Amino acid sequence: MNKLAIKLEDEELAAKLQAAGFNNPSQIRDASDKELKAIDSIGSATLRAIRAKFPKRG
Amino acid sequence: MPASNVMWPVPLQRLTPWYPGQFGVPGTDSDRGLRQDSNGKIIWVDPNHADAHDGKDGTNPDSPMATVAGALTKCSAYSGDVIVVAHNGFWTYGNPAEARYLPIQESVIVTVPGVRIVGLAPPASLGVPWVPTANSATCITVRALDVLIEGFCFWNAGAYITTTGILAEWNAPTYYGENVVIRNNFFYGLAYGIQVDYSWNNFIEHNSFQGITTAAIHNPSVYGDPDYLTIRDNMFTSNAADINLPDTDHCLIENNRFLDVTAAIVVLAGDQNTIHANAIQGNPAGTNNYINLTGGGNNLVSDNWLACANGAEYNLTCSDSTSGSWVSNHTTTGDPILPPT
Repeated sequence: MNKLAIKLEDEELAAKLQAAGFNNPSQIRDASDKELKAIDSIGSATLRAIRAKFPKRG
Repeated sequence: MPASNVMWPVPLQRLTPWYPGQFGVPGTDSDRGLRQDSNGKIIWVDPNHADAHDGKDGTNPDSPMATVAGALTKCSAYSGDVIVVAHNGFWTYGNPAEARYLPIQESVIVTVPGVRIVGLAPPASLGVPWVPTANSATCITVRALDVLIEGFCFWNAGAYITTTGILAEWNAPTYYGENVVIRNNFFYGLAYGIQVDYSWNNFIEHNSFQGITTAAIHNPSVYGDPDYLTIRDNMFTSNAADINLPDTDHCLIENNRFLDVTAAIVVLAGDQNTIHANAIQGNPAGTNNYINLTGGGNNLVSDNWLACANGAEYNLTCSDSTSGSWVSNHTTTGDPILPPT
């Protein structure tokens, strides 16, 4: 399992994020909610799950 | 050969004189050669040697290379290669008139996995002096798996700013600096002693950090969280911050000694870490200057010795109540029963 999947505890979600170019935790922390929700099948609930692991930085 | 008062920091085998040379490995037929692996070679670096030059193959200690960067070009992945760096006397309290005063002053990037870089210092030494080259320079950047760094004294000779001793970074498919062993080194006066960026399973052991101006062990978070670290048996003295690893999970921080602390162990928003048997001494009226796990969960903090009184000082120097289990920690007035508030 890759590192992002381990951090998220969700292999499928990690694959979606990586396919969209978010390859590491810092890229996800730096991304806006709008950017993450633009990824296919990431809605508000999934976004909350992502932000629980990787809160928006700064 | 090393002088009579020089000891090896790692076990190295001397070739017996009747051992045949190995085809394709220069220097292995020398009765003065040393090697640690059936395929590996020892590459000598000694910029103070009169004949040091990077054009040599470096396998003969009487004919060493001049730079670690040059030696790295001679290494092969997982072949057991060891870069052995000879000692020099370049230290802030040293005598400039002594011989062998030229330090290692390089910024090298390690991209060969399985390499060992070893400072060959006299027994009482802090390690082989290695100093940064400029502002914002890093002495050793590790971007390959399974690298060992041992026996160096990284210190900020030029009063440069934002310098780092060792940086390990992992961000596949570009950088793979992980499973690094960093032991028996001394870090002095740098901005950062060791930085670990998305780099997991590193062992940081038996090092000493003194007068570090930003943080002794730090997560720069360019790529991500350095999880699964083992940090033990280190000594931290009078640093601006000691262990600063936000968002880091599954680490063991054990048996370290923290003296004169400003911020000893800070793992904000970190989960499932174990912080065990550390001794922390500093201002008992400081705020969160001993152990600060604010925002984290399911951590275990056990059997640590804290130079503060139970009650108000414990609650002031440590945080916080929801960070996990705080068990059998010790203060000057007894063991707290609950996590700090």
